[in-house]
Amino acid sequence: MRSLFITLCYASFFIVGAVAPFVFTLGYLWVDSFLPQAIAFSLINDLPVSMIAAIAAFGGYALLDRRDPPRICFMTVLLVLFAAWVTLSTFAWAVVPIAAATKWNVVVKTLVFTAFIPLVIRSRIQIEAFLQVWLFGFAINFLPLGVKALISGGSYGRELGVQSSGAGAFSLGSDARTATLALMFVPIMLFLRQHTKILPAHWLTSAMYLTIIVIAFCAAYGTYERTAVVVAAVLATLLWLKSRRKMLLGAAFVVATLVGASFVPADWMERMATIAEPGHENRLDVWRWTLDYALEHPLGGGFEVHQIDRLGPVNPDGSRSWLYAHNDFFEVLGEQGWLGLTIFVALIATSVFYLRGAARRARRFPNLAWCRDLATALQMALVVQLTGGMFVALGFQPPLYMIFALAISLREYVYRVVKASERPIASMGRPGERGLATSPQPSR
Amino acid sequence: MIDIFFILFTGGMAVYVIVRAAMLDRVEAWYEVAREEPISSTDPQRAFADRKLNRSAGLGPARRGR
Repeated sequence: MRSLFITLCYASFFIVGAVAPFVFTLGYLWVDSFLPQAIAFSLINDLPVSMIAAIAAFGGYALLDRRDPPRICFMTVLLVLFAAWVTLSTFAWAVVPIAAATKWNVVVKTLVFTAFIPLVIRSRIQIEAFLQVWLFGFAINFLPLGVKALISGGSYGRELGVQSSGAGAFSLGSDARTATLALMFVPIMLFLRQHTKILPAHWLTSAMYLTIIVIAFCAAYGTYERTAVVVAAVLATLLWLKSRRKMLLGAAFVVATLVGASFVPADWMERMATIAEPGHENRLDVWRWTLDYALEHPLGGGFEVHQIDRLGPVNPDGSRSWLYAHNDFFEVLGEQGWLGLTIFVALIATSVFYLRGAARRARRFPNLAWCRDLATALQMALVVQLTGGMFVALGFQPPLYMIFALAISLREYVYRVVKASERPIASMGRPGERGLATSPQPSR
Repeated sequence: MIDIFFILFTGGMAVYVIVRAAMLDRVEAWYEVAREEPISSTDPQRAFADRKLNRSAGLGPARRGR
């Protein structure tokens, strides 16, 4: 039944996509975040679900829905450049070629899809649908984890999610990555709670988002990850800074912290108490190793170069295993060298620049309040993601790139609205003129 | 049971969202023509200008019925 339901959900994207082609792209997004092939037991497991969804998305756009393409922007150029660079590093000088090719297969799809999304996601409904499908697709990674942690208490290294961390190259287990990404969705859920047009404006909708937010925090707690506490603290600070009722929210956070601290088990407190202790030599070692490696090999060592660092735990045979980069920037630096790191930092900076620009332009117009709020929510999500990325390697995880794609979509949306609004009435919608304000045209 | 519940919930919500989004995408204006100050619905001249603007831009109800 579980497999049948998931297969029907997957099929529904194609059925609805035949009517509204942008839904094909949402289908790819859902597969990318829900990982149905890892959760179902049969029917869908042997299908190349991701490839089918990608073909439908690209085909649907090319054949049915090429209205109002966005301008070619700097971020799109960066994404294409990054895709080319990681391809070159993988096939020209990767130190661990087979593992590198496996990771490249996922990363290059993420990069290409990120560049593609702004072509399809253009209107307010499409942007919101993207956010909702992304949220409900990814939520399967943290909702069961959060509820089980609430019931059983959770513990470090214990798998409480639907899928284990070994289910695929980019699948998530009950670890710091899941905690970080779950908390990353909090500002997005707060935005959706306030501005949703797709879900009914009802107290139940609001209650649903608030419940998911609480479960996201429970999931972060249940992982027993110190990173989760740091990320939660940063998120709370951001929410407090944005809030208009700082006294009230500050008091609520203090009360929630005190109440939470009185309920958490002793082993959780013991683990968190080690945050300030100097016991992170492994992490510092791998960062130092990466820096030295990048100085010796400025082009990087290709994906999974850390498999040669020999800094991990000692194996039964006496050899040492390897250690992950434990940081976004060191991951990119070690694998893609200084040029890769430059592109990566440029992508982050450009997305912030786009989001701030969109918010600034939208400020002039009362009916674009949602654009300002979304720009703020995405910037907060980016900060939360990068905070987690200081301690775990999330540099090539798709959620970061989805924020980049949304930054382009939102910027283009505001640009189109502002441009349409600045045009004189007489010049709008002339016969044969294919302007921005005449956007609702029949699909091609 | 918890896993099954959340698979049903998240999968069901995703399907509901795409169906609603597909419906709304056909009837909602893609880009709202924005004004720098709030639009007054009580000003008949302004309301007429807004309707004209939206109609000439192909926004709003023009797409219904296709």
